[in-house]
Amino acid sequence: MKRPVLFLLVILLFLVVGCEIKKPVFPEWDLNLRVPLMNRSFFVSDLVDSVNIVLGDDDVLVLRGTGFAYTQEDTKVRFTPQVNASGVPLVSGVNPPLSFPIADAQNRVELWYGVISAGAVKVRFNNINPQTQQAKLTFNGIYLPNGSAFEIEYDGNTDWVSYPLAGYGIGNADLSAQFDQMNVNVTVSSSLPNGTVVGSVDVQLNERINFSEMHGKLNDFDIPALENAGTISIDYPENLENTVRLMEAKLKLIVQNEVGFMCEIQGAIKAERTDSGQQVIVPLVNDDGTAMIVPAADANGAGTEVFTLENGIGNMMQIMPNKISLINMKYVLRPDLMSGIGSIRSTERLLCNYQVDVPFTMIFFDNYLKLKHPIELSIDKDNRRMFENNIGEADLQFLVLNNLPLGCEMQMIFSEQRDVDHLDSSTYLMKKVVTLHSKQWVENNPNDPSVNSDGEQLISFKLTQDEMNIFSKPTIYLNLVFNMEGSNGQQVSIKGTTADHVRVKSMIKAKLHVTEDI
Amino acid sequence: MKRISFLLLISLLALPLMASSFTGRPMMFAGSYMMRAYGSEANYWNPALVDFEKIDFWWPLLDTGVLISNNTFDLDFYNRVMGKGEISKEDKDLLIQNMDGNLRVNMLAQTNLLGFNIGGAALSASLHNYNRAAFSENYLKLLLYGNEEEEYLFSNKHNNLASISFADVTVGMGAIRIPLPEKYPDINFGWSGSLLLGIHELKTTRFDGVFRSNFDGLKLQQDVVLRKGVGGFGFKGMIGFATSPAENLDVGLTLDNILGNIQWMLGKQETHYKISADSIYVADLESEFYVREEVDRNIKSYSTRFPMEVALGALYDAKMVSLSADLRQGFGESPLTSKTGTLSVGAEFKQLDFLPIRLGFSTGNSIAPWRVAYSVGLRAKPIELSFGVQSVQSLFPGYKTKGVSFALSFRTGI
Repeated sequence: MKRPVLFLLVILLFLVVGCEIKKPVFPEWDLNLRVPLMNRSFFVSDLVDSVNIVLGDDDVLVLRGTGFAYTQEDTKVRFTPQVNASGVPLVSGVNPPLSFPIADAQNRVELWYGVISAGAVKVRFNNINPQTQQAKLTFNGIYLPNGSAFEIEYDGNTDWVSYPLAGYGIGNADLSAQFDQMNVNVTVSSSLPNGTVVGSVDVQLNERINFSEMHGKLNDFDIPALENAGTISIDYPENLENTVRLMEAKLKLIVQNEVGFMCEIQGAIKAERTDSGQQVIVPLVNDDGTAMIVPAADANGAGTEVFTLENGIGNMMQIMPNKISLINMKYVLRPDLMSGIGSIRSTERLLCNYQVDVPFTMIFFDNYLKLKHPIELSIDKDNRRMFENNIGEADLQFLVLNNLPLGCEMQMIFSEQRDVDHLDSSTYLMKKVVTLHSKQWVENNPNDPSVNSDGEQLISFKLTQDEMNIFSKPTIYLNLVFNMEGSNGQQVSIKGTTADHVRVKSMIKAKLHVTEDI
Repeated sequence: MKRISFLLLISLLALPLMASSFTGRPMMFAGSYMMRAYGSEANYWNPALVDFEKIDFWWPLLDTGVLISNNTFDLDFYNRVMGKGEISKEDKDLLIQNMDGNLRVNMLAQTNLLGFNIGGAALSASLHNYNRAAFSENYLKLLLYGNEEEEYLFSNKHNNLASISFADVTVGMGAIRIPLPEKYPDINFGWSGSLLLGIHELKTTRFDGVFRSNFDGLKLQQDVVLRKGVGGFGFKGMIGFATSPAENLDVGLTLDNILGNIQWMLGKQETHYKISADSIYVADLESEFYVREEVDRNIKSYSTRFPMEVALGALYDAKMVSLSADLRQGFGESPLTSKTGTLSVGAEFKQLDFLPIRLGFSTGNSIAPWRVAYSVGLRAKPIELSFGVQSVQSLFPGYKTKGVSFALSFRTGI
């Protein structure tokens, strides 16, 4: 009896002391994680930036493009008089005043008064008797800045002499009448008896005069807007024109006229797609076909007029233009637009700010949209290693409450190159498709398995381990293609009220391989 | 030695397994010791056995027992995981199955300070330390499986910490014969009373937690109240009966922990730990996403009660071998007692009087698994030196054991 018991104790001793104990290492294992990622509400109104996207009537979202078309600051009014007198006798003693009709050679300017910025009068004295003591011409219609009449006196020179008129006034400063006759007084004194011809004089005022200020009437005087002054550029997703039909659009022009003449706007608005070459040109006239007339500036300031055009603008926007510009735009000044005279200074301009408003009221067709530029995903070394070694498979889940009348099927296409054909699987690595239905669809399909009792849609985005390995590459591209849910011909408006939002709750379920590094 | 030390080390996550006294010698019989105790030691096991014939003397610190165990991990599992370098699904399932609700870790130690008996009276003093910790299997599930389920709840039932240490000074009297008619065998009565000197107590009085992750975000809430007491006084009493109904057969009955409690008088404090986070999403983690509070407050004097425990014991003592059996039933849960009944059996082989060999076995209870005890002693009367070990949830100490205990006993007696 005692030997077996002793033997048992000895065995026990060996069992305890003889146990092998492995060297400790950090073990690896797999675990499944459920990590809530986010709970966010995306309000349509957050898109409103008051510049490019604004809230319009009835809180409908409006895409707004703005541009401007200004005239240049140095507007030149040109006047070409036709005074050309030669051999006008100079008589000692009393000389009768000379009078020359003065009119614009192109009949564009009816001058009442002007301030000359460039121009000259040329005079030549001929055969002046040596006993002549003085020969002087006094131009009663031309004034020095101090108000005295412009005078030219013989100084012995018998060649043509050009006298610059810059800074001088011309015409009737009191604007009492049109300045159509230039009166010149001739003063001659000599030691010869009165009535003796002591010589002659030639006068030419037939070169173009530029005014820095002009009062009178203008016939068909154009002030062009600067070309390419303001072009609207818009970047749309690919194929938008086949997916969306815009129901309305407006062009609004706000014109400020600093010029003292009423004027008519002429020109057109051109919308074009530079990729396809499509163009739509809409003339700048009121919706009723009448010309757009801008009031003249007055003592209270610039004349202002707002024009809103709708005819043709919707059709113009339907091509989804990526470039909108005003072409051949000019302001035409005509006397029939206003009674009485007007005025213009070289510093005065016409300022036109225009905006194209496209309300988000449209019909959706069952077609695809594709973002033109893929999203580049750069994955750093640590994350690449984690995707490769530690994450087995993942299920990215979204619980979405869509309060918008928009729905779509979104294709997420991951590729190694930037450009892919979403219909050709050889051009990309992986394509995942998720569907988000519109609010109307959810209301019509409350018992659909993807919809819970709160009207939320469960969207699942599963990735296998092989698909996860795609993210072990340093750079991949994500192309997004949206197949819009058609609105069955119904007009849909996207509004920006507080009720118009999408609430997204998301969670990732992932199989994680735990190692010493993680 | 290094390996043994490691076994000790991995078992340092610990909790008490046994009720009653567990100085070195009783552990050698897996707690089947009611009718084996004598002298001053009978104060703790059955004071009716304090008698005039057997006298002993306890030398300070030389009768000591230490036990460390858990209900889940063993060396075999450790080696398998370390060998593979991975934890497979089968390994995880095995762990969860072993836990049966929670991971329970026990550590206890008791040593004598002094003890002797004179005539029918005994005086003894000893030092006790009981520690118990339990962690819900949900924590391990979260760690190993991940948060596969939407919600995990945690309560004080499966998550708790209890630690208490105290010293006792016990006086007992035994061998008091109950006057009975001659046709009945003699029945001795004994009693003991212990003055308890509380050293420290630590206990979770509240443990509520929830971990939830779904589309409404991640919710984490942990509400723990830890009660701490330092310095206290208390009492417990014990009565026992013993008789010999047949030749070589002794049986006994005890009722322990009568009025058992320690009133904590000095450092009394409650610490409230609270961590809460709600509706947390990864996208919002940049901001402070949780609230952590830790509030200490002084509390009134309180008492730690020890539920009463009844035990039946029997000893058959033949010339070559002695066999014993103890049946123990507590009336409440505490670091000292269990509501689950425990049966312990023990044997001492005495073929070589100088080399007693002992074996023991105890069934598990609600807070501790079953275990087997082995011991060998060297006896040269009146001196005896014994060493013992216990294997928890394994027949032999080895790869499958979930804990070990070590017992040392040095006795001098007549």
